[in-house]
Amino acid sequence: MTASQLAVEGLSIDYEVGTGRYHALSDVSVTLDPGRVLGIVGETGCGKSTLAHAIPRILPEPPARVVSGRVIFQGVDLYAVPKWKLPLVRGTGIGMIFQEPLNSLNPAFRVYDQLAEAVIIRQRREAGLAPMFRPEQENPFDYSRHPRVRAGEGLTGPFVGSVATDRARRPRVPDSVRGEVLEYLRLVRISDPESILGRFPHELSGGMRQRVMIAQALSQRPSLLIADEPTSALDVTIQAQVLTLMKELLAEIRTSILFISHDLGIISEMADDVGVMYAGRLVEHGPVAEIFGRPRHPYTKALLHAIPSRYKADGDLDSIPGSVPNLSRLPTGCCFHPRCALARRECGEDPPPALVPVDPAPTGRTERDPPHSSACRFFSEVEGLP
Amino acid sequence: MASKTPRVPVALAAGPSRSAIVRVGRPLRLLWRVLRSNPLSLVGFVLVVLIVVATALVYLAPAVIGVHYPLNQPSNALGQPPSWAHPFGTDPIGIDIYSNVMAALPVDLSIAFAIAVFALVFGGLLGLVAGFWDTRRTLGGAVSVVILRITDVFLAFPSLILALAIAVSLGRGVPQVIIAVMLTWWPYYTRLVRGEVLSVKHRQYVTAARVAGVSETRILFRHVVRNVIEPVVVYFTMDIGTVIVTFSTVVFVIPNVISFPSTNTSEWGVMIQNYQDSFSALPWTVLAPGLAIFLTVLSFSLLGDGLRDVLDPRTRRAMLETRRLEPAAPVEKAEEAESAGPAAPVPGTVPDVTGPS
Amino acid sequence: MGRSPLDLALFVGKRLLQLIPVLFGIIVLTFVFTHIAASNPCAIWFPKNAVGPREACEASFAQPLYHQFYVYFVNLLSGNWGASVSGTQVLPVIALATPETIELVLAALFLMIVIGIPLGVLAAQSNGRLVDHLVRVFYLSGWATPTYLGAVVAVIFLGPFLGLPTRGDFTTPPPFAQPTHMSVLDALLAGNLPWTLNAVEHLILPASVLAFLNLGIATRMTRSSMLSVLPLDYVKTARMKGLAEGWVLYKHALRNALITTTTVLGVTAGGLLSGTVVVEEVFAWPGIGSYAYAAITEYNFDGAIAVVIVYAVGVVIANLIADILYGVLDPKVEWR
Repeated sequence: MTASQLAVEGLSIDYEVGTGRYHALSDVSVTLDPGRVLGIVGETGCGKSTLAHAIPRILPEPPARVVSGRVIFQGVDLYAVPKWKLPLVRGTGIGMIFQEPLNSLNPAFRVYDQLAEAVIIRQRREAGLAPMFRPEQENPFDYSRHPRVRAGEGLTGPFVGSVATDRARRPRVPDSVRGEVLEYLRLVRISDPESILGRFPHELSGGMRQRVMIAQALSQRPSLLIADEPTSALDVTIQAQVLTLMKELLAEIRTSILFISHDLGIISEMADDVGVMYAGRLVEHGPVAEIFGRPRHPYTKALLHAIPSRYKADGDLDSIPGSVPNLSRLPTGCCFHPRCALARRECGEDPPPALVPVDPAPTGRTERDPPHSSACRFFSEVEGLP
Repeated sequence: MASKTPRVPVALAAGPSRSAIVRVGRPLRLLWRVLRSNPLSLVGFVLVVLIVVATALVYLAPAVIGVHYPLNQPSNALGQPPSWAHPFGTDPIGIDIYSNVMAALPVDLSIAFAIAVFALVFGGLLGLVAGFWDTRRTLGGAVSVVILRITDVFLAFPSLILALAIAVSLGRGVPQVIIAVMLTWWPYYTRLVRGEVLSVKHRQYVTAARVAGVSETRILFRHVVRNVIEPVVVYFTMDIGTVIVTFSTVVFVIPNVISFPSTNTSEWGVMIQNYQDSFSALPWTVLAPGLAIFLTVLSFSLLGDGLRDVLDPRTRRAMLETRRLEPAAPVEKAEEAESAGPAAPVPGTVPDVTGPS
Repeated sequence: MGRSPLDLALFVGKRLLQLIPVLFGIIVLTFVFTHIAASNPCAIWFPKNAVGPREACEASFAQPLYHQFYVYFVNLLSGNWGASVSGTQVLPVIALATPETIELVLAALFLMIVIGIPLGVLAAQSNGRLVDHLVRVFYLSGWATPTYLGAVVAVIFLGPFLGLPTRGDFTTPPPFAQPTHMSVLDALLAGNLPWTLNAVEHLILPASVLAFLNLGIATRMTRSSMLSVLPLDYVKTARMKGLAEGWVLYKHALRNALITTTTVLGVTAGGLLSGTVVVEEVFAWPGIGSYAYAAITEYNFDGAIAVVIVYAVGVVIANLIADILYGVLDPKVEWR
């Protein structure tokens, strides 16, 4: 059995701000196997973004504080090394795409320069000219072996790239970099890649920008790709295009993906496994078919129920009574119990329940599917909820 | 467009504050936030308070802090370095430097305030007019353009030189220098206020007020001015220090400047000029007033810098994310300038870039 | 897209054209002011009873103001910028002195950029912590120091302590020609290394004083720009590409934060140009600052107006460069 690529174990992260201490993540544990897509779904503020940022350690450390837990990527605990060593893992090990493509591409640099930078970083690492994350070795973060990192063409290029002339058209550019950039742009189904090389991000449409972002992340061939709400800022039609693209790419590349979204529909389409988060905790986890078909946590069930249905022409929209708790003042016991239809006395008194496996579903489950687990003590009664 | 940095949930609501109680409490609460945000601001505030207290004492009860009138009395203690009897030493003819320096405190401060307030009021009014009524082909538009051109001319003028020229022409005295600096100072406020008015004018709440039928003057005073005041006040606080420095520099530079007619006032720039030749032999004669200027300006600058940090929406957001600042109470307005892409210049902090903007 | 070289040329042309009325206004203003304030300076110029020149002087000043201005303006346009009391032509002197001041200002700007901007980045990085406070105290102290005090302290204490010269731009007049009248540049052009070092030595202290006093502008602006840029997503993207933190800060973040900072620095440069009076006086630097001071106090009207013209042109050009840089650095901006 292949070791899981990513294992988050008991991660708890607090934000310490003037007003108090916000428990952004409480004891979150997930695993991700190579080649799988794990979807994390939940409302705004539930901690899914924090989780996404915590894995490659790009949380702003002064307000954020890691209380406990580990993040094990390819067998290496990323929280056991000093933070300055992490750049080795990022890019070629773990890649990330963000929600707002205008904000996530540098507005001062042209498309070509940004893509070239990513390609060159990867090329130099693969060629041994720059240090690379090697999990199989005893010291995965070995900075000593390579010659001093010299500024590659792409690494200094963008300093002048945005001034007047268009570097992308100059013949001096080494072919391999330009060739790869075009190849990845074609991969994301951009029909005339040459035409956008010299453009700035603000000159592209939203869908185009997001494709460029995806191309940039993929061009570094990461083992794990984290997608933090990649389509939430796009129009619905563009959203569909980008999602279709991503699904097609999934078939072509072997990267495992951590897909974050608040949109249940998107998760149901994209993910193999799903984790449901609420108030900083993982409340349910399992294969996508089981989570959506037979949810075993009252929150999941209520979420699914709250989706407006095309088939109900009348009646009020269902919503979950109450509101999301303030992360600095979490309820005692199970964090969902104040809003839960199944709540009993012990739900509010006893410590928050851990994820426990529910009875295995009879059909449709493959060997690679993770067990279906829920953080509700009374998961068997969830089915009976309206 | 919220950035997806996992953000601590903070409550900010839109809409200017309404009730009178809140209006009065607002500057106090602001001050409290400023002080809490940064230890340097606290230091600055304490120093400013001390300076104000000292000024009051010099004015009302000078003997309490050791200032003895009449000033400039020669004594037997010639050219003494600082000691208990003479904390800042004495000059070549035995005049106590300490008394002079402290006596100059209310003088310099009130001069600086007078200049700054004049510049603020005069320049600010012009800026309001130029910014608010600048539609083309109206009387207001023409006036605006005239104001702008005049301001441009004054701004292109090197202020130190202009002040120098005016002061020398009017007669080489301190009051003339005051007038000179006043005349060179107001354009900065005009430009600042105009920039702010221009950016506020097009905000949605102004349009909403117009649509609701609010009269133009009411709009001007309630909405525009209220929102322009903040950055202007911040600039003003920092400006006091700059005025002091510029003023004393001009006074120093004028050869044989005539001090005040009265013999019982002192002024730091005058002191420095008087004692500059004996600097090597008796450094304290120049260092004392120099340090007085330095400390005064530093205090105001520390306070003003802290104030600016709190009010500038860009740095305020950064402070929200560290421990140092609490999120604004829900009644306060939300002014998060959505800075997508390159940091947009905050109007007023960056002078009017008339070309690409 | 309003960013082609043609757009730039039009933009620059438009701004230079705008310079003309402003310049004219300044000339008029200065002229009127100096002549009204001291309408008969002949008494000051010729204190002793040098009857002949004094009578001629008084005759010319007895003319109506507009006539005096007309005469002056015509002379100005034809290259005769007047003369001082002792008959020294103004224009040649100014032509020699201006580059020296420009050199001083450029050196100060260089120091402000090289020291001030990294300090601003450092302060933004360690926002709220000790380093941030230290940086702030540093640049606020510079701001709060009166120019004279700083210059004199440098001359009397720092110069001897560091072994740096404190007077003039060379120790003795150099043996080579000075085509540009910028001390370091001329020495370099003459290929003379020891003299170049000498020139640099003389430049260090006055430029440092000027830089220290004005550092706050660069540092403060950089700090607040960086603070607003650092939380943005593209900084995270840069990190996630695998770039080391230094690259992320200086290549990606600062590049965008610099946009406002360079604009402010450009405008400051204009202000610096005219703020060198005290520093030049104290360091005996042969620039227009010293000349301006002398011109004003000696009632050298022609000299004063000439100086003002130079300053105004300098300020406008500095503003123009700032605007151009802004357009260059921010790809969203069009040149209108």
